[in-house]
Amino acid sequence: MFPSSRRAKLLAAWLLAVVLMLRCGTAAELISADQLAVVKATEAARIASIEKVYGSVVAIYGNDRQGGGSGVLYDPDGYALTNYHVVNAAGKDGWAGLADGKLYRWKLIGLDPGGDVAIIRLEGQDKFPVAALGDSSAVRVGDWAMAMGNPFVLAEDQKPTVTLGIVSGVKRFQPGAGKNMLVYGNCIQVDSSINPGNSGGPLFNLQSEVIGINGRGSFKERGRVNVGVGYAISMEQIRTFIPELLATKIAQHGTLDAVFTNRIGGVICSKINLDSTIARLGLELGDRLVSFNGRKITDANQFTNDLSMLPAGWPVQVGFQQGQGTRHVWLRLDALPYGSTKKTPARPKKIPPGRQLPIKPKMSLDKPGVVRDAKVNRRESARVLRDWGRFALGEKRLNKVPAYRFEEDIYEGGKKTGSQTVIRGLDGRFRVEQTSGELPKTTGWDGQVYWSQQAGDKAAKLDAAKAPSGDHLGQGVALGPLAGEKAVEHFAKIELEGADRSQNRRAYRLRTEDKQGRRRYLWFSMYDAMGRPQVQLLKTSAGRDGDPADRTMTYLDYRDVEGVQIPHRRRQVQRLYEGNMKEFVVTKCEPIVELAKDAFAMPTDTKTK
Amino acid sequence: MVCSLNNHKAKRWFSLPAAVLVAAVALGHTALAAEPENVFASAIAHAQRRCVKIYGAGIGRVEGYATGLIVSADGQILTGQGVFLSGTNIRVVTPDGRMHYAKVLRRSTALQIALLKIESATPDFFEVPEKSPVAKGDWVLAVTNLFKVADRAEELSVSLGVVSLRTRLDARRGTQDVPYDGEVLITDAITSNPGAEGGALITIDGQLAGMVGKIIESKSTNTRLNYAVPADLLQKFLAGVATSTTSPKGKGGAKLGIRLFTLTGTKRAPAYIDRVLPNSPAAKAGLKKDDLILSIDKEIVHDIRGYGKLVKLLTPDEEITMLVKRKREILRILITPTGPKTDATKK
Repeated sequence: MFPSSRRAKLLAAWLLAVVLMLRCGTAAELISADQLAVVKATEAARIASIEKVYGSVVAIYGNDRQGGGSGVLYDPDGYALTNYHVVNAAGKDGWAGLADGKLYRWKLIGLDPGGDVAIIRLEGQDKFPVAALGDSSAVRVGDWAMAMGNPFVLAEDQKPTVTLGIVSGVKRFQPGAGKNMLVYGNCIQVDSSINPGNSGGPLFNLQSEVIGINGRGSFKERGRVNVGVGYAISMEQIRTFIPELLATKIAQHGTLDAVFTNRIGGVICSKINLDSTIARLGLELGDRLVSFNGRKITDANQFTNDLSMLPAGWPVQVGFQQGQGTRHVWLRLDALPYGSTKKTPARPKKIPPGRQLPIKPKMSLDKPGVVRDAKVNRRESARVLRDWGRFALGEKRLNKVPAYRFEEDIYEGGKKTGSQTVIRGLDGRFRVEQTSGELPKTTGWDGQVYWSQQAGDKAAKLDAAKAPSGDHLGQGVALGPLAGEKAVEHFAKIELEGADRSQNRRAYRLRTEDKQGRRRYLWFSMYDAMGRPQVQLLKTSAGRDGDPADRTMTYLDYRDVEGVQIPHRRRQVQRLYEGNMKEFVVTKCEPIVELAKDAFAMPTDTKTK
Repeated sequence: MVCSLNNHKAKRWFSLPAAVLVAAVALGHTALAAEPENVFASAIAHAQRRCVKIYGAGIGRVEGYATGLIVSADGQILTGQGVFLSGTNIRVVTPDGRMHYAKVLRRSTALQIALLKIESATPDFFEVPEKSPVAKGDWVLAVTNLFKVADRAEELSVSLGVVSLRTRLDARRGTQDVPYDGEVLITDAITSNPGAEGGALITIDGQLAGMVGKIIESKSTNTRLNYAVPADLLQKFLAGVATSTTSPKGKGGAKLGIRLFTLTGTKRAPAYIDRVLPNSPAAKAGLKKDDLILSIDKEIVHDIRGYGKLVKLLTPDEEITMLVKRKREILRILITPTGPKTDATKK
């Protein structure tokens, strides 16, 4: 009936089916229904966690649609993280493939050659699928780790490849290449397959959170194939650097410009640049490092790891022992330079084993630490203000209340020294009746004029140039025009300067100037305590480093009042450590539905001082 | 017949060890619960306290570092046979980050393993089981000092895999240079990396299943074998040390029948053969006067003294490879040493 060969094939197929049936039959006997259900549930959960973020994984190509790396979208506006070395090869723009099978245009936003990170922005969708950024400091050895990306540029339909493994090591340090480039400090080591093309792609935990960006493997011995040893840049580090990159900078890493070595008796300063900030603050050769950022230091490697995650300009506290005494100083980290791209070494240097081949920067790295694209930077500043507005007023802006009345207590040195009643308008106008000190005082801003009135005196106009640098802005700003819809237009100039720290939180630091050229710095948080994006006003100041003359104010304890997030404590602070000078605690806060026309106006019969 | 065979295979395949199920259950939890559980954490922590980093000599591309397993409370450490043991300074870094000097107690050419000792109490040590705790399909974790990425007290690297099978490796020379001779556990965890040799292969409840073997690489395909010496063989090796004190193994009993050229009067002189005793292993293997001995079983022979040391470690009736230089040629010679004469005949 059939040709013999075909019959044989049929027979073989039939036999296979029988065998498969037998296997299943045996399985049912040896593994209970409950156990099978658990295995299936486990598998289903894993598949679900992959599906949740599958769409956020990006395949990155250059303009020639050649080459390739990976990336991950973390912001619905199209922002994706990848490796510097991927972007360096691809160029300043190119094509990006998503799991939907489509190619999108991408443009470079910012670079961190030192940490091997870059941010690109995809165009072509209003709301891109994103993955949540996780907390890599909670990652432990033995945790499951899923890598996704486009290894060997396999995916012609742009669908990412998933490889599952475990975390093999944490807090690893992999030395860099070239001058201060591609340093993997405090990174995550995984046995998930990381191959060429995986570079820049996300490393997920099973909760579908990005815990790192896969960037390299121990490839040195056997060519560029997976040997079960991959390294991912920790999300802890990347989170800190994001504002630097969004500011369109070539981000620089921080340094104390001093070398510390393990010696008997501790971690000792063995080399120091006498021009460095820390040297000017008194650190000397032979001093023992005891703490860094509040963490006890017992090992030079541990210190190197901690330091490698911080950008230049980051405020840190350094504790060191000098002779018999121990000192704690605060400073902003100096910047690690990159090698000039113009110079080419006369002779190829021999690479010591274990080192990566030095990368050839195709893009100029000659001006690190400065804003490269003012237009993009302004857009990023506007996004920060927009997100602050969404936080403060809610996304739908249901609130129509024009102003609030606050009863506040004033504390100095832990003691209550007075109280005040404040009316703050959502448009930024305010009126403060203060009863601290000897005489009650009233100050206000009606939108045009700053004024002040001592009890029994006549009201007086304040110098418009000096007034905002007093604590007046701090009095008014928390509700002020910053949260308005067109907040960015309120300023003559605005620039996202980069990453900073305030209230021990990661922050965006913005520098603003009004029409009169008066500078004001604003700090906004990046994440809430759970690590989710949250843009909250943290600090305002006339200066960057909290000089007492700058009238620096921090904002804490946000609470919802009629749909508006209002800080219930404000602190007048000083210096990088934000030392508390004066605290305003809200005891009562109520909306004012009907605002009198002259609520903020300067009392009449005035004279200009 | 066909059915029964497949049935048997099927049973093997589905006899999911409890461990895998435990892991699967916990994995289910990790994916669903808010606070993730790390099912491997306790096994890993157990092993981390019982593994050491070993540093010694390195030659060329052969790295001078490895991993070791603490197997007794008085500082006995199992590791692989490697170049790192050939120098005079073998340094062992215990999990607390302290460094100790170690001496080699014993070696096994067949298993390519060695037993070291440090002069320090090590209260945490691996119980080496007499019976292998793993079967095909079981999950295992490898805890190793690969690529030297962990320094001082930093934790060793951990990778996950399953036991693919237990099989026999035959010592072979030539294209597949396999010094190992015995049964191994093949895993799909990539363990064949520099420094991983001597690492712990543990079950996911922390029992010692084996010790990661030294790198075996195919010269033709550049692929490597990921394998471990099964724990039961390790146990036999350890037990052998304790019981067979009269055994000639490694006690310098092996004879090759070679006299070296010692006229120069220094022990640093190169190991040229002066005379090959008739009917000796050397004569049978075809060694000749004026051959320069370069290496014995991959250990480099620097001089006459080095030759003497290496010969002392040989086991009678166990074939070894010797590299010799004859005029302009380098020859690979297979040679089987004979045992020592008994005390009675000596007298």
